[in-house]
Amino acid sequence: MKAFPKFRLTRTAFSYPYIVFAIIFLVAPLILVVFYSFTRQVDNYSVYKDFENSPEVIMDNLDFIGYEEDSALSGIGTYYYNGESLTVVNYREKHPETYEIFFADGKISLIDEYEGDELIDENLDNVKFLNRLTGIYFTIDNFVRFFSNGDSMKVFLRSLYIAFMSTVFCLLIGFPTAYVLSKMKEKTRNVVSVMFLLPMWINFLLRTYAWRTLVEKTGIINTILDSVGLPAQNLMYTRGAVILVMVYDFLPFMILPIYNTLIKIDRSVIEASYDLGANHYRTLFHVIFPLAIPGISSGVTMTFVPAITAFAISKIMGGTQCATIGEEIERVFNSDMWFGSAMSVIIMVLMLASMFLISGRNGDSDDIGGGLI
Amino acid sequence: MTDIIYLLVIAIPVIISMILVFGSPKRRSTRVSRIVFLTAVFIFTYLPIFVLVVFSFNSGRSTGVWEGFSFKWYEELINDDRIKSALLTTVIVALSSALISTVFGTVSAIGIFYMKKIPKNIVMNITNIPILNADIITGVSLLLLYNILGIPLGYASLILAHISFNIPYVILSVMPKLKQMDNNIYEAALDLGATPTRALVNVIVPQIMPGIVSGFLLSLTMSMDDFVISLFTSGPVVSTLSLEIYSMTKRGITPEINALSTIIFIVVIAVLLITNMRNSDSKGKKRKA
Amino acid sequence: MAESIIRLENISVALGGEQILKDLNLNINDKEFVTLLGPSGCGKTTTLRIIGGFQRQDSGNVFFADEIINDLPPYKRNVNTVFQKYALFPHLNVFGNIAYGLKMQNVPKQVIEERVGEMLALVNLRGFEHRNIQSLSGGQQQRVAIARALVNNPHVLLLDEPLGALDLKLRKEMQIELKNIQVKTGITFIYVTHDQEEALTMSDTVVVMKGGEIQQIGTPQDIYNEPKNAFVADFIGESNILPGVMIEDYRVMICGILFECVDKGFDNNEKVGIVVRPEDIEIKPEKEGFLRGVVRSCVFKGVHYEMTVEQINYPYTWLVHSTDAAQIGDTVGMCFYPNDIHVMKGEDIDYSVFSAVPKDEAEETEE
Repeated sequence: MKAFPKFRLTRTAFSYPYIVFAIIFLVAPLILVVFYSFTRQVDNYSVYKDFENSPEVIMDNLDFIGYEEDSALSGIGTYYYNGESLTVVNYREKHPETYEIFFADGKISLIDEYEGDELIDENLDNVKFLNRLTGIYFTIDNFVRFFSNGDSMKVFLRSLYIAFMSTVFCLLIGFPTAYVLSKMKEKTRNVVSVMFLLPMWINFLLRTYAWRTLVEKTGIINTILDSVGLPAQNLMYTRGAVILVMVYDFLPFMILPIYNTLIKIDRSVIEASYDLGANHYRTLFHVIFPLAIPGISSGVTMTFVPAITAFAISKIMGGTQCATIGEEIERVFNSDMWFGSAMSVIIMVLMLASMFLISGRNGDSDDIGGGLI
Repeated sequence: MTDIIYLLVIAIPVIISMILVFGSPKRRSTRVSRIVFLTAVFIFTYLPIFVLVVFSFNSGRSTGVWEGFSFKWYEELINDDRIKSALLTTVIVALSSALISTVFGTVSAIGIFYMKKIPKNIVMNITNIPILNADIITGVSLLLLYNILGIPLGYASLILAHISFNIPYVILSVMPKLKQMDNNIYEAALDLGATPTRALVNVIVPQIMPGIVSGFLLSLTMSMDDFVISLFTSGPVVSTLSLEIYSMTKRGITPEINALSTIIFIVVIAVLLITNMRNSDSKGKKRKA
Repeated sequence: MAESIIRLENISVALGGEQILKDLNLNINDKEFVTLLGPSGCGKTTTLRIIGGFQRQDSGNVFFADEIINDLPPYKRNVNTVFQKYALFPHLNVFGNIAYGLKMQNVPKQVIEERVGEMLALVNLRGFEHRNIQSLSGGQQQRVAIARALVNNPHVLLLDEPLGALDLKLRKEMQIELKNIQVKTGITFIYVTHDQEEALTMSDTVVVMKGGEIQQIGTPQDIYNEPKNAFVADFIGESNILPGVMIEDYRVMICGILFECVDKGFDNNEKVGIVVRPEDIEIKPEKEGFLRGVVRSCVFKGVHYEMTVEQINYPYTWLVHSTDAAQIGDTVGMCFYPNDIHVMKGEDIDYSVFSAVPKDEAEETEE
C-alpha cells in the first residue's frame, strides 16, 4: 500500500533513532567481539640507549608479563627478556618515555643484541630508555589456542554435555507437563500456567542457592535420608547437581512454548484422528507431536542456548571442577580479552548452528513475550 | 558413571508416568497419573522457594539448618544499608531502563512497522540479537564497546546496557499489536479530521496499549532479574541486588536475602492477584453490557 | 444542470510496478449517488482512496468544486469515508466513535452531544451511545460507521464496499436505508462495490471500471439495457454474447438467421456483438424456436431454472433462465423478441470467454 507520501515519511522516521542505537549497541559490540577474537595486541617493548639523542636499540621484543599495581597505563611492569625477568620503573619527571631497567637482583643488566655480550652497568646516571610500541595484528592464534588447549576443550565439551542433558530432561518433564496443562479447562490452566511462572520472579541466584541448601552434605535431603536410615548422598559439586538446577531454572522456558502451541491445536484435528481410528498414543505421535514441533523446537532453543553459557549455576552447585564455558569466558576475559572474545565467537557460532538445526530459522520469539506476563 | 545412574533414576519414572499421562482421559489411571505428575512438577518447582521462605524466619545464620522461628532477619534487612542501596540501585536501574525502553521501543516499533519489507526484516533480525544471544556474550561485547568508546563503567553504562537488552522485548511486544491493528483505523482518524500526530496519540497508542504495558512489565522483569550483563557493565562501584547476592554466594548467604526475596515474592503475587481480579471484573462488566 | 463536485483529470497510478489507474477522467455531480462498479483489481478502491486523500496519484489532478486538492491531506478534505471493515475505534464506545470527528474540530461539548444524537437518530441507533463497539452486530457497526462519517457534514461521502461483510437480507435492508440517508441528507455518495445488483439498486449513476479504465458511465437502466461492450454486458447481469452482423438498420443476422431488432446507426454489414439476457430467452418446443439446442444442464435456482443449452450446428452454449424445467438431453427451441437483442460495436470481442460461460469464470479470465 502506498500511502500519502508525507505520512509515510514521518512514520518511518520514528525508527531512525532506534536504528542508530541498534547499530551502536546491538551490532557494533558483536563486531567488536569478532574483531577482538581475530586479533592480538602487541606490546613491543624495546630498550634504547639514550632515546632522544641516538635511538639505538639495545633490547628488542621484551615479553610483557604483567603490570605493577596502579601502573596499568605507564608501561611499568615486569618483562621477560631472554628468559630473565626485569622490572621497568618510570622516570616520570624526566621524560614520560624514560625508564630505568632493573633486574631482579637489583643490577641493571643490558644485553647487547649485536655483540651478544652482557653489559652490566651499575651507574644509574647512564639511563636507558624503554619504548613501547603498541599495535594490533590479525591472527587466528586465539582459536588455535582454544582448540589445542586440553583444558579449554574439556570445559567446552563438559558445557555441551551439561547443556544437552539439561535440555533432554527439560523436554522429558516439560512436554508432558505442557500436555497435561493443555488438556485442562481453560480457566484452570490459565491459573496453573501462571503458577509455573511465578518462581521466575525470584532472583535465579537465590533459587539456585536454595537448591544448595537442599542438596548439601548437611542439607535437607540428606537430613531426611539420615532420619529414614538411608546413607547420605554426596550430591554437591557433581555434574548431576548442576544439571538438576539447570533443569529447574530452564523448565519454564521449555513448558511455555510447547504449551502455547498445544493449546492452539484445533480440537477438531485431534477428534478427526480419533474418528479415523487412532488411539490416544497414536494420535499423540502422529498428530499432536508433529503439530507441536514448532513449540518444541523453540523450547529446546530457549533451553539449550542459555544452558551452554549458564553462568553461576555451575559455580554454586558444581564448584570449580564443573565450570562451564560461560564461567571460563568470564575468568579469562579480565586478563585476556582477545582469547575471551574468541571463546565468545565459538559459542556464538555454536548457538547459531544449533538454532538453525533445531528451529530451521523460525525462532518463535513472540512466545517469550507472550508467556511471561 | 554416576550420571548414568542419575539418568536412569530420573528417566525411568518420567517415562512410566508419560505413558500413563498420555493415555485416554476416560481411564481412571490417566486422570490420577496426570494429577500426580503435575503435583510432582509443582513440588519440584516450589520446593526451593518453600525452603527459601521458611529459612527467612530462621533464627540462626544458616539457610539450611533450622534453629527456631524469628523475625530477626527481617529486622536486619531493614538496617542493612548495603542491601538497601543495592535494592535502590536495582529499582532505579530497572525502572529507568524499562521506562526509557518502553517509550523509545514503542516509537521505534511504530516506525519499523511502516518500513518497507526488506529494511524491516533487517531491523527486526538485529532486534532479535540480544534475545537470542547468550547473556554473557552480550555483557562481554558491551564491555568491549564501552572500552572503545571510553564510557566509564557506572550507573550510565549499566542503564544503557539494560536499555539495549530491554528495547527488543518492547518492540517484540508492540509489533504484534500493530500488526493486528486495522490500518484503516488510522486512515479513518485522518479522514475525520485528526492530524497525523493526533491520530497517533488518540488512535494508534490506545490500540497498542496492551503491547506497551506488557513490554514495560517484561523489561522491568528482565532488568530486575539480570545478573550476567550487569556483572560486566556495572563497574566496581555500582552494585545491583543480583550482583550483591552473587558476591554473597561466595562469602556465604545469610537469611537476610531470603527475607528480601520473600517480600519481593509476596509483592509480585499480590500485584498479579490484583491485576487478575481487575481483569476478570472488567470482563464481567463487558459481558453484562 | 447539476454542478460538478469532484473531478478527476487524467489520473494515473502505478503500485509496485503495476498500472492501477490509466489516465482516468471522471466527473461526479453534486448530490448524486455514484457507484464505482467493477471486479476486484479494477482500480475502484484506488480511485476512492485518491479522492479521500489516502493515496497520491502519479499524475493528473483531483478537483473539489473546481479547486485542485492534490496536496490536501485527508484531514483537511471535506470528504469522509465509510471503510470496508468499518475501521471503528475499538477503544471508544459508540458515542466516542461518532463524536471523534467533531472533537478533532474542537466543537463545544453540548453541540457534540446534540449532533451525535441527531446522527444516531438518522441511522436508527438511538440509545446505543454507551454501547461497546464489540458488543454490536455487523449491521449496527455499519450504522455507527455511517453516522461517524456523516457527523462532520461532509460534502461527499465515500463508501468502500460497506455492505460486503453483511448477510444477504441485511444487505438488502441497508441498501434501501443508505439510499434514504443519501436522499435525506443530500450528500454526494461515492460508492464502491463489485456487486452489480447493489449498484443498480441504489445509484443515480453507475461507473463501470475494468483494468484501471472506465468502461461505461450511465444510469442503471442505460448500463443494463445498452451495455457499451461485452465486458459491461457480462459484468452487469449474466449475458449471452455472440457475434452477429448488422445487415441494415433494425436488421441483424445471428447464427445465420435474420432477426429484427431495435438498434440502428451501424454501417451496413458491420460486424457487431450481440447481447441476449438469459431471462429474455424463452424455451419452446423444438420446432417453435428460432434456434435449436440440446439441454446440457438444468439447475433449480428458486425463482427460475438455470439451463445451459448447447446450440446445434454452432459452437455456442446458451445460458437460459426459464420458469419451466426441461429434461437434460432434450432438444429444445429458443426464441427472443427484438427488444431483447442488444447490439454493441466491436469486432474484437473474445466470444469464447463470454458466451454462456458462468460469470465467475469469465471474470477470472479477464484478470
